[in-house]
Amino acid sequence: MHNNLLVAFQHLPFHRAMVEARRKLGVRGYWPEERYQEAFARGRITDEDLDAVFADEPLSDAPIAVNFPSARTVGRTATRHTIGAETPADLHWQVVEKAATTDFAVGVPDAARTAIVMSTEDWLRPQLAHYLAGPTRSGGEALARLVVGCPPFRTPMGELTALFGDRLRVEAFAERREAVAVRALWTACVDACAHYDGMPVIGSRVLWTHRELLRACSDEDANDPVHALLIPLCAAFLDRGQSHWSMPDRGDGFLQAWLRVTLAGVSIRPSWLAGIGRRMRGWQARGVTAEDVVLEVLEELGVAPDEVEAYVERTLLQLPGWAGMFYRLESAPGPIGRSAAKIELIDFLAVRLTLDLFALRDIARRLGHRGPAAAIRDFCRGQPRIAPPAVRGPHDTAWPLFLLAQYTGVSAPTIRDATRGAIDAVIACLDRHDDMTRMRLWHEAYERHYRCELLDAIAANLRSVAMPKQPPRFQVLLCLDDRFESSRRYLEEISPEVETYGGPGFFGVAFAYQGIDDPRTFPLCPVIVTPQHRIDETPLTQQYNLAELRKHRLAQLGRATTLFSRASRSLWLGLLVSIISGLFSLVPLLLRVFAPRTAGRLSAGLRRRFLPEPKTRLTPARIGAEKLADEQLWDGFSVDEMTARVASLLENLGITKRFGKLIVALGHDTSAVNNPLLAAYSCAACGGRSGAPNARYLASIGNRPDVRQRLAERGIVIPADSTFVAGCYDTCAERITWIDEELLPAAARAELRELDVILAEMCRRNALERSRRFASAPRHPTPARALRHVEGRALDLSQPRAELGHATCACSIVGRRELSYGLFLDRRALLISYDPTIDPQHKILERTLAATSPVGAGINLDYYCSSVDPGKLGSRQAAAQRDSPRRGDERGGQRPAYGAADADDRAARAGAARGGGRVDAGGAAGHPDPPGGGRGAGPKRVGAGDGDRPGDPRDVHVRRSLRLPQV
Amino acid sequence: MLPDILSAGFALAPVWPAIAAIVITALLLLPRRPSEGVVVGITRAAMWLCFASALCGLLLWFTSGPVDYRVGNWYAAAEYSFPLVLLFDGLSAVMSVFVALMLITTVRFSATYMHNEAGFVRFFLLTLFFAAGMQLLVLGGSVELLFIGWEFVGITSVLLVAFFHERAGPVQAALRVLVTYRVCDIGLLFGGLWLHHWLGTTVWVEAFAHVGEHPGGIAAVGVALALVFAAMGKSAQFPVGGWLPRAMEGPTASSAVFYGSLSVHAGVYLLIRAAPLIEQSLVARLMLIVIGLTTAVMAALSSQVSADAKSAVAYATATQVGLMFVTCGLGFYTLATVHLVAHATLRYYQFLRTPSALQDALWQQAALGRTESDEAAARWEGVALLRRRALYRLALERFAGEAALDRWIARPVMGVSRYLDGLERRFLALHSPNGPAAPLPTMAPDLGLGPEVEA
Repeated sequence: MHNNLLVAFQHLPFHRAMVEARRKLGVRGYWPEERYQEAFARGRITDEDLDAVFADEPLSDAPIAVNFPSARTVGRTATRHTIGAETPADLHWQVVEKAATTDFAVGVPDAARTAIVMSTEDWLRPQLAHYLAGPTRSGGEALARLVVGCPPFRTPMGELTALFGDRLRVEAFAERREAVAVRALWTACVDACAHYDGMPVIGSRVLWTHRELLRACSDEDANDPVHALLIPLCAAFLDRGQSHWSMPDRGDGFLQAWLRVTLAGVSIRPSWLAGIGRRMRGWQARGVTAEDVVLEVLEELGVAPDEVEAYVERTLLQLPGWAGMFYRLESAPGPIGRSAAKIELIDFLAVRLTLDLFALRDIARRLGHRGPAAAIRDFCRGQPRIAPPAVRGPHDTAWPLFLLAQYTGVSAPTIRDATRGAIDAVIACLDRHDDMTRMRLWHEAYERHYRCELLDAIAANLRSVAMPKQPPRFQVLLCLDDRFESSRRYLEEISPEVETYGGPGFFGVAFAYQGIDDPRTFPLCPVIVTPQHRIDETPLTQQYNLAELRKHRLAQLGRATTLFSRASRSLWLGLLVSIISGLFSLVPLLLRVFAPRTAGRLSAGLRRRFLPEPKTRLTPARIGAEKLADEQLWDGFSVDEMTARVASLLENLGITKRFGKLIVALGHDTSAVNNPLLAAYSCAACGGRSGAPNARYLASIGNRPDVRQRLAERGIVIPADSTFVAGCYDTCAERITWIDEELLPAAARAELRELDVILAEMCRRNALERSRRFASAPRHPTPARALRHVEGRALDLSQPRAELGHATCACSIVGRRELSYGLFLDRRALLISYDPTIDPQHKILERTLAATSPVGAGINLDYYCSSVDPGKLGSRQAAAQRDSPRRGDERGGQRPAYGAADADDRAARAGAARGGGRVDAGGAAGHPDPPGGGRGAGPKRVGAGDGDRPGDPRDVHVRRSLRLPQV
Repeated sequence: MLPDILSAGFALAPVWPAIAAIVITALLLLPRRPSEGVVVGITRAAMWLCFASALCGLLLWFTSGPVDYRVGNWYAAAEYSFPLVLLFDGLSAVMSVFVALMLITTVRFSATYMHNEAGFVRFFLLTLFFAAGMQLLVLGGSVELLFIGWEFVGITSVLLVAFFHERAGPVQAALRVLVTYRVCDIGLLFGGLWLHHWLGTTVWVEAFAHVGEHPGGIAAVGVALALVFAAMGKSAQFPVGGWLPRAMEGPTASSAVFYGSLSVHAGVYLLIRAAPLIEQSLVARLMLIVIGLTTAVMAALSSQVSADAKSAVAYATATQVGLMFVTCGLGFYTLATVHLVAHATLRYYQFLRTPSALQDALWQQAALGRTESDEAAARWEGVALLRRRALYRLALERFAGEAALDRWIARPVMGVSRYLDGLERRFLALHSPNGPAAPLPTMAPDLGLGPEVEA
């Protein structure tokens, strides 16, 4: 898990971490309960799932007290029916507006209703008859109190009579016994909970920081003025080149830059900052450090030494995004942390605390506080609060008990007979099942459902699977990415001669890579791996001039666009530029909005004409053993290293015996426009960049005779007519391009033409399968039309979700293809090839899991978090779910701006991996047709058309049936 | 015959979006919410019809020149009538076509961009009302009709800034926009009144015809200054321009069409439309030049230091709009018109492309062979350090305009009302038997973190 607030909790088990994070950060680690209830209502979670989950809970099966259910039943009922604490307003609503104290709650089973009504009747009827036989005032009062308690606007007797329908008769009892039973139960519960009155609410917050206390007294938040000032300052200080004028003095740290810049010249300070100038000048004169400032301000605020740590933590968490940015840039290695600014968290803290001090003093002064800042907290404790602190009362404590009693058939006499100890035990059990616990249990049931379906399907598939017997002609290696689940399915379906494999998309060759257009090297390997080798793309000698021309033109183009964007933002040049280019920009604007494909083709054509593409090669085999001086990297791989890489890759995937004519490595990349989170859609195993260079390098070393010979010595004999081929798979536009095709022998090229046909068909079918989830896709498209749609999507300026990324990724399957061959997994599974038959010691399994599970877990947690709490844990998608990547708006938010966002792809990918968390799903209208239904071979489907994990939006329904052509 | 048909067609330009908005509102009353497809379909049809109407206007202008088109009176009293009059001339025809084109583009863009957004229908409804208002503003032949359009544009802007109303930021920003608009609208209302008082009419054509006959004096200056004040608010000029960067809280598409393109230029349009009136007053023209230049310089500097893509473009927009004020003040109205249309298109495109800012920056970095990401920002290093800091501070603090307003207007006003509130409470306490009452309980403060235990 990277780059969200939960990173600080990753040493804990998942559920513990969520509880801790909720306590510290206020994030919600699960869906809201209503979402789970909805899932239950539509059968996505079943009673069996809940039963299974509760069977694993360490709860007692013995009744808590006489006639009361067991702790396990209490827990299950509380979870199933969301029984828990209610806000006073909600409780009032339930009781007054929804008549909750005279009608049974929704979903109370008939048996429970009958039991409650019967036993209440048995209990009340004799008393009523006794009273009616000889009415006395005190007897009537006692009876009425037993049923209706102390009603607010009537006498108990009047209320009881009203409850009976205006006449207090035994016969009326028969008609109104349900209302009477429920009311008597409620009254009994309230009476039983009378002793909770005035107890502190469990989990209520103790206000202790200056800001919280002042806010409780004045309803003014010190953060409002502070953030309005601090956020632009942080953005300007951390900026990575988005602004045309960077902050002066930022090389000396945030505090110094702030002191110097905001003391320079003349300006008008907001009134709450009165006196800060003198203070700052004093600091400047004394040459204080950030630590001095922090200590001085903390002391001035009267923060005791033992609460400093908690206070600082709370202060930093007011703006978790910016504080996190300072921390990350301070501690990140390499190009991510490299900046002209000296970035240190302590500086941020010093500035923040100073601004806090002045804002707090200002609010306190307006409340009438005249003493030093250290006395603010004591002052606030003496002031009246706008909302008094919450305490428990009999009604809110009785509410869960009341609901529980209804669902479990416990009636008023039982509650009245119970001892105080028994009531306390039940209440304690209910308190233990607070919302976090209930959500955890729901979530486990939710996951169990999918798990069982998946495992059942795999087991059933294994019994009936029929892998092709013939030897493979094409072996296609793909990334383990869930998006290739369908690609592999279609490839195998189209031709039995194709065999597919999945593994990490860097194909076992990790290196720092610099292409001809790159300004520096980028690591092409998973984030957890540090590359040891450097691979460069260099133009062929005879095409050196062409490469120079390209470089020259590219620089020209870069200068021109930079100049343009500068000029359009400047004063006088802006006048000229806006008049001239404004009129011309109408053409690209209209083209790109109304005809994205045409615009894309035109611009690609112009680009090809303007920028020549020289032929290039990658770094050849290394002879020597010394590293490059400046980077501590080896310049290319030696032949032995190459052999080791290829052998290990082939062993991991389980390709050691049979080889096809073509062994095709397809690295993947994406091509969307106008999406700040682009890197999130690229290859996660290549640091959020294209996997094509890795595929290309693998093919080039796999085809070397010396490597093959050494492989043969290790027992992996690749026939001479087998050829490695590299390609790049654009997952957004469903397009495959070959790399270094001209280097292949003629026979391989002929084979490639035949594979092209299969791949083209695969792309069309993939596009069709993806289109069913796109609302803007045409209805019932042909495969070719669907392909055109996804191509257009990739070029559409207005499309924030050109593809859905890993939004529905739910599981990973490590094993032979037999497990999942022909199985419809709805692009939700990471498929990792592994052959246990050649791995008796489980060595390969160990390294496969070590390499792939962090990638898969990272992807899933990113999507999970941005789905359950988009506001705090999501990408900026979320305030959105919202705050979607499209919202270019950074103002006022707590999240850093794009400009400030690190320009490095790896950081961007990590921060942005949740980019696709929101799914462009078709409406939930209509019954989802099984997508695989139309096909002859009838692959089974698993949990298809359903959001099986909170990681995907609820409405990932299959919009309409998918009709696939037979081949 | 043909001019009549064309005129009637042109007059329908504001009507189509209004009808569509009403239809969608009616659909919302049905038990089932209309689907996205239906809403987009209706909106698109209305916008294309609006575009066709605007083309009629262009044709009308080519064939028969300016037309003062009278539908009749809304009502007439003894001395006053409210004429429904539209002015069809080159300016309104060109602007009408341009407005329709931008809005069609917006609809096309937003149909996919806003997909699955909670306020999808609301967005299109507001866009339609905005389209109706904008067309009325452009075509209105009298100050009153222009004012109606002006108010529609204003209120839809405010509601779209507050589009994501579940967060506090957008709502606060929208409130700021609302206050600025309302205060500056007084200028337009006041200008119209005074104009009627001065020349006896508010119909543009008649006013322009009579303005030469009556020597202006104080009335001419007053009307011109009032109109300039109205234009300042809508076009975010100093010192009431602080709302523009805050208005970026809305969805990208609405930022583009409102604050990049149409709404923010409405003030300039008013100046061009009322040019003969404003030319009467040298004071007003000098004021235009001063305000325009001040805004342009300040916004240009603020744009230089902006670290986020959207507000950088917003400040750049304010810069060029300031220059348009200057050109209007100097009397180059044709230049201002050309500048308006060209600039509106450019900014619209730039706003739509703001999500690409990161990719563009990466690409430029690669193309220029830069290895460090912040090498680009090294301009201004030549300025002497002390002056650079001082200038930078001003630019970063947006020239303290908001701090000044807050300190010298907002706070004193709040202070006075708090004091009066206290007085009132004490006065009431004299009459209540239980002594001074506690302040009314407001909503419990949400401390932002939900329930939690803290030792």
